[in-house]
Amino acid sequence: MKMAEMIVPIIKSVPPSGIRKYFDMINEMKDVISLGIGEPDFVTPWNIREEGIYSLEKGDTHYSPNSGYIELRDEISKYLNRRFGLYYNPRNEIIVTVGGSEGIDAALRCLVGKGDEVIIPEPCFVAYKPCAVFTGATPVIINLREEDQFRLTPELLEQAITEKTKVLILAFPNNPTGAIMTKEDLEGIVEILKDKDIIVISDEIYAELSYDEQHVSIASFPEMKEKTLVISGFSKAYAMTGWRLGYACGHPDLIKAMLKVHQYAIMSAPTTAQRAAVEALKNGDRDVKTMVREYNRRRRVMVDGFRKAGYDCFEPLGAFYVFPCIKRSGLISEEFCERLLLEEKVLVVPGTAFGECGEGFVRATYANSMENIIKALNRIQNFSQKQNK
Amino acid sequence: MSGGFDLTVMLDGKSLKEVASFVAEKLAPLDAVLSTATHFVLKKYKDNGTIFEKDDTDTREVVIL
Repeated sequence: MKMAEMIVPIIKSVPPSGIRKYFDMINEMKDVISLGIGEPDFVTPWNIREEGIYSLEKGDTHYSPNSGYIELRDEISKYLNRRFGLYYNPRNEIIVTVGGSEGIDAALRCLVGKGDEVIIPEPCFVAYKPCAVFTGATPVIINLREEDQFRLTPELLEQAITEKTKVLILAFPNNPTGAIMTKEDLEGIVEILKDKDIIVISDEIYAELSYDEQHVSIASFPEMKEKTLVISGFSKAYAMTGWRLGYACGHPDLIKAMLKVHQYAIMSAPTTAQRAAVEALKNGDRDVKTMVREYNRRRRVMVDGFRKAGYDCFEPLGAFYVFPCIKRSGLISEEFCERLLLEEKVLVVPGTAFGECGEGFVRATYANSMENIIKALNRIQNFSQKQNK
Repeated sequence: MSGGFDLTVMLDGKSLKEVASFVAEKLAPLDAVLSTATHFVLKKYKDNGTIFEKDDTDTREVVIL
């Protein structure tokens, strides 16, 4: 028996993540500064960790209810109301998931299948397209443009909608571009969607990391509330990536369906993480603010550094990434990243890892110490100067 | 000296046994010593009020997705 032949075609059709190939290269090199890691460099604030430790000391080591502890869902509900003016009933409109990623997968499994289309604006987080493909649905890609600051425009959306469209994935603040959608930007999108039977999966995992103005959720438009599933979690805002905890909020019928997928595939999200997350929501606002202030400082240094090195860099207003244009180097994104890594020992990720329209761009994260960022930017400037000679 | 004891003796020993022997054989037999309490330093976080720097190695995975 050949095991490889036993794997179903739909799984084989999905290529491995484009970021992975650098892993092997880096492992053999010393003194590499990685601006490739998509997670906070901060550790989880102490009070949150302590709550997790305390729950273990008490012997709180059992399964939680399938949709998550009601105390946590209560706090999620209060938090979304306090921060973004959203209201979800903790009893039947919120489900606690294993990271935001599980929510995306479960939602797509509940909403689409063969013959349905899922609109995915790219560049974007690498998991949306594979998760859509796994369901048998057809991903329809919108190529976002730098001249629109990588925001989704009503025109681009309208062109992508067909009779088969069932879901739009909206992910702002965006990974990898750092783009955001303001209230005004969303108004145009709402205008198109309000009379259509299209569900918006709004991945708002980076909502807290908004630097210019408060994040606005598309679910805050009354006409969109029922049609939107908000995905979020604790990884980015509270530096809790390893705890693997997220949540999804939306229409009770959709949450009920997702609960089915969740309870059979996962059972329930980790108990310790849920206990710690309650503390995060109750007493974490100050730490989030401190981290956001620090990211903002680094963001400005990073944008400035790339511009000084001669690369155009539109101003990202969210998440913790910059997405500079490297076309000036005459290299394609992959070559640029490979040479920058080999010659200057700085890892950035080719824009193409996040969609074909990412060609000509690279993603660099400022979730790294200021010291490393400055060192990396000096090396990038060196690299650029060598290119000019 | 106020509090529950009069003298603090700090000593370095190679093993628990070495410290225990010193207390049992040299300190405790002294006439003036009524009782002893031994505390071991397991890990030093501060010296004279200065916090030792934590190891700042980046333990994040280089590549996740």
